[in-house]
Amino acid sequence: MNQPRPSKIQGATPVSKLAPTSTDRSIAQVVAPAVTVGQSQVKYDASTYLTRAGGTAILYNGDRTWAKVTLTLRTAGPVAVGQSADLQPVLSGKGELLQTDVPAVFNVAKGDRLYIASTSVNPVGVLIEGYPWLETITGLIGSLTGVTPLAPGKAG
Amino acid sequence: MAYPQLNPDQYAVNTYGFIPFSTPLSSPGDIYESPQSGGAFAVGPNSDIANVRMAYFDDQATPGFMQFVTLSPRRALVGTVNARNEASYAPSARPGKILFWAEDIYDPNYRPTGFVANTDHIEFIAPVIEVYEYLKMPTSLGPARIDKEFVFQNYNFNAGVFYLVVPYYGRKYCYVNFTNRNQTTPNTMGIVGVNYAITQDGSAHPYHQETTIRVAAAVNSNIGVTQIIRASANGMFDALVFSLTNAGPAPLRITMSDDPL
Repeated sequence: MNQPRPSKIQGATPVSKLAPTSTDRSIAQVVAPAVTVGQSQVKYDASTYLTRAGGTAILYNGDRTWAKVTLTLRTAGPVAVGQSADLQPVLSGKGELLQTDVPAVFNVAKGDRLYIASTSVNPVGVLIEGYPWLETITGLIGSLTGVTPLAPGKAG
Repeated sequence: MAYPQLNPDQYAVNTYGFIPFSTPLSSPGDIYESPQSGGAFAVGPNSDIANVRMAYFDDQATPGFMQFVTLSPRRALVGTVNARNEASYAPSARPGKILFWAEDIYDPNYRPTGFVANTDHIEFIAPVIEVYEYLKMPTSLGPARIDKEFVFQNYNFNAGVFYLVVPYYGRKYCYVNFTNRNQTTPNTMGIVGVNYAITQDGSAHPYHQETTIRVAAAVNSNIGVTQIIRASANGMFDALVFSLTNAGPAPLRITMSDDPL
């Protein structure tokens, strides 16, 4: 008779990088610090993005817990950046217009996306630096101010 | 386009500081277009054309949405001008790119007064139009044009009169040095300043204006001639026309400057 065989895959219980949240709206809560930090949240990412004429593209998709995104336009533009998925027309004011050689810094939380749009080809310097400690600080401040943090895995 | 135009986007991708639009004019109608926004625009150092017309998209410039500005050696344009590729000029519905063309007149069909079609020869030094579009606002702009120098020595003809047309747009000073090194034959050399006009070149009296700077006169063997042309004394011309009667050797050096020396 065949016996169930244990899995060959050993290790700790998988822990989501997403901290738990409560669905009880009557209780003020903050998210507890995540117990693990993914390596991708610590590494920086430096690149040059080339815009194209027309459309709106995703520049950063908010895959890190917190990230500092620094954008530097290398040519005359115009290039608009913002959280709207449709930044066209570029000069309409839907996004922030980058200034040539002036770094623009965005602190982007997880899930928030950064979009970019232009009317021509422009190189934009992109520097993405993770804030893995910002989540921890958020949780600690919540504790100090008396707001009960939710423990990981105890989402209400 | 009468010529292959460079790709301005490539200069942006390669993070160059400027786009050098430069070409000898093959016809007065050559127009450059740029899909790149610029922080400054200036006549290039090697340009023979002095006045460059520039057009860009402007929402308030009705009805065509085309705004105009002229660049010259004494007047660059510093300030961001957006290439509005997403917008369209009216009524052509063409993208709102930045356009450049020569405002000065160039007429390769010009023939000097007294030109005999069957025996005389004429050669044009095609004027170069050069515009720099800076991709970001420069901290400073230097003098626009270099002091240009043309050097000739032998001339490709064997009968009649040989005419050599050299661009002179906007120049204010010129030094001409001519020496006949043909050891047997005198060379009759003259200089005329010409200002082109919009005209029918095939008619008996085209509208071009000619000013004699040096009356054609024989230059004997091993004799040199020096001629100084000043804007204040002689005027300003679109081109200088040199007439010769001998194929040479006869070194001819022409140095021109924007400075009224």
